[in-house]
Amino acid sequence: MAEFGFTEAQEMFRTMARYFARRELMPGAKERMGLNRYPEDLVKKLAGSGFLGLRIPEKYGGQMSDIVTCGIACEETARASFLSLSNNQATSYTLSLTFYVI
Amino acid sequence: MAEFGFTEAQEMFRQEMRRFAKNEIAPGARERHRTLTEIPVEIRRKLGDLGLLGINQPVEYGGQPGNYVSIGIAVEEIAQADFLVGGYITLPTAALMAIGQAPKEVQGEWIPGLISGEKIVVPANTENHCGSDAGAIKSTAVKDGDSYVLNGEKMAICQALNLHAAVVFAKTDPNAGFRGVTAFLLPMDLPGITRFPINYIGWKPQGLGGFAMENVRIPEKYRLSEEGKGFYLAMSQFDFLRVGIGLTALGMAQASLKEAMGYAKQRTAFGRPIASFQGISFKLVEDATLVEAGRLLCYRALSMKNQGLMHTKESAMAKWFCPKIATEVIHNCVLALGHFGYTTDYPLAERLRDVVGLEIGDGTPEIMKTILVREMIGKEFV
Repeated sequence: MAEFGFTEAQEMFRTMARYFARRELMPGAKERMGLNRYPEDLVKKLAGSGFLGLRIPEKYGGQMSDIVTCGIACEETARASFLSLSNNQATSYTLSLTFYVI
Repeated sequence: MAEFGFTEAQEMFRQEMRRFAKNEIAPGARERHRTLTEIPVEIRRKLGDLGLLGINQPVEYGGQPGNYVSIGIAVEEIAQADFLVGGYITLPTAALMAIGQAPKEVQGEWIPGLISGEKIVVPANTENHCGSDAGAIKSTAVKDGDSYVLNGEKMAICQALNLHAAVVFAKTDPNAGFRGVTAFLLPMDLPGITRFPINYIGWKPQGLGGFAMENVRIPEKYRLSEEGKGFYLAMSQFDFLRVGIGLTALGMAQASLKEAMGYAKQRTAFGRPIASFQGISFKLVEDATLVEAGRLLCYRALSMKNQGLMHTKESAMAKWFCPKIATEVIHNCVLALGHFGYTTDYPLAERLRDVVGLEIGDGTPEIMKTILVREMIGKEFV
């Protein structure tokens, strides 16, 4: 691990998050702009891939990652949003709220 | 150790550097800038004694283990007391990147003196007609038996008036563009070398100037790169030096912010300290934010160098961004002090004059952005 850089685990997480965002968040992003809620299937996918448990202790089924990893999750999900002009920015924002509350 | 932060050892090193800068470098700094055309050998020796000139160099020559992030910390802290002394640390470090390629005999001859601070060796690339276009140098080196004969003229060289040797770049194949450039170590006491000063508006102790080479004969052992491979060496030196310039500029900006914040808390207008006016306070904290962003760029680049990763892009970002924002920050600090800021009673106006020079040396902002376009958009768009 280097100072002023990401750990190997964080880089792997980023790759995973980017792939997830491209595969699951980008398709249909524009259409979801019309909704005033999160589609349940999307939330389930986020949960299934561990995004919602990043700051939750392991005994409750979370992963208790570090905050930099949470930042990576926000950045990568927002990237999908930016590319597709969708409401996935809200996804990233909601994730950060989740981290904050927990 | 934490990602995006310093190790405990580095934090301790920073405290040590801060004390050193305050006690040993700050006293007399402004007087030196008015009167001297060199960084006194006593100061260079102090840097050497602390090991700052030999970080990452072989222990047999007086070097010590360490890394480039630590060098950055030293530069940043010492530049707050005297930016030329802070920046000086990077020069032998860059020269050593080249001298490390020389035969053992040459290394033994030069490295100990460089590390102790006795000897000054810096890279010399720029010429009168070309700086940014570094592949267009006109200095030539012609092989003659077991030596090379050098001709040409270098300018805008740091410490030109005081150098003991230069890492000089010359064409062994004048028709090959940057692929014809070769690096040599040029001892400055050889016959045929004439030095001349360049009158910068500030930077006096940098001894800025140039030198002409007229049929200067140097033994082949002083060749530092393969023929035609010198350009790559120059570029890797630049990748390091540019970060050093960034941190030097940020050191100057931090010293200025400290002074301006102190002043704004004391000075009153309309019955309250001017720090309580957002016109003053917001500017100062915005500037502190920019400085912090610049620091991250610089230390990220140095951290990548530590790992042996390419960091041309990160260095170029640091080199255009940091001196530019430092200039703006110091300008704002001058204004925060009003009339006092523009006097010689405070160091701010002199610092504003001096920081502009950092925007130019070792690659203008335009060249940095050209590098970034090549790296990020594509070389066909340069």
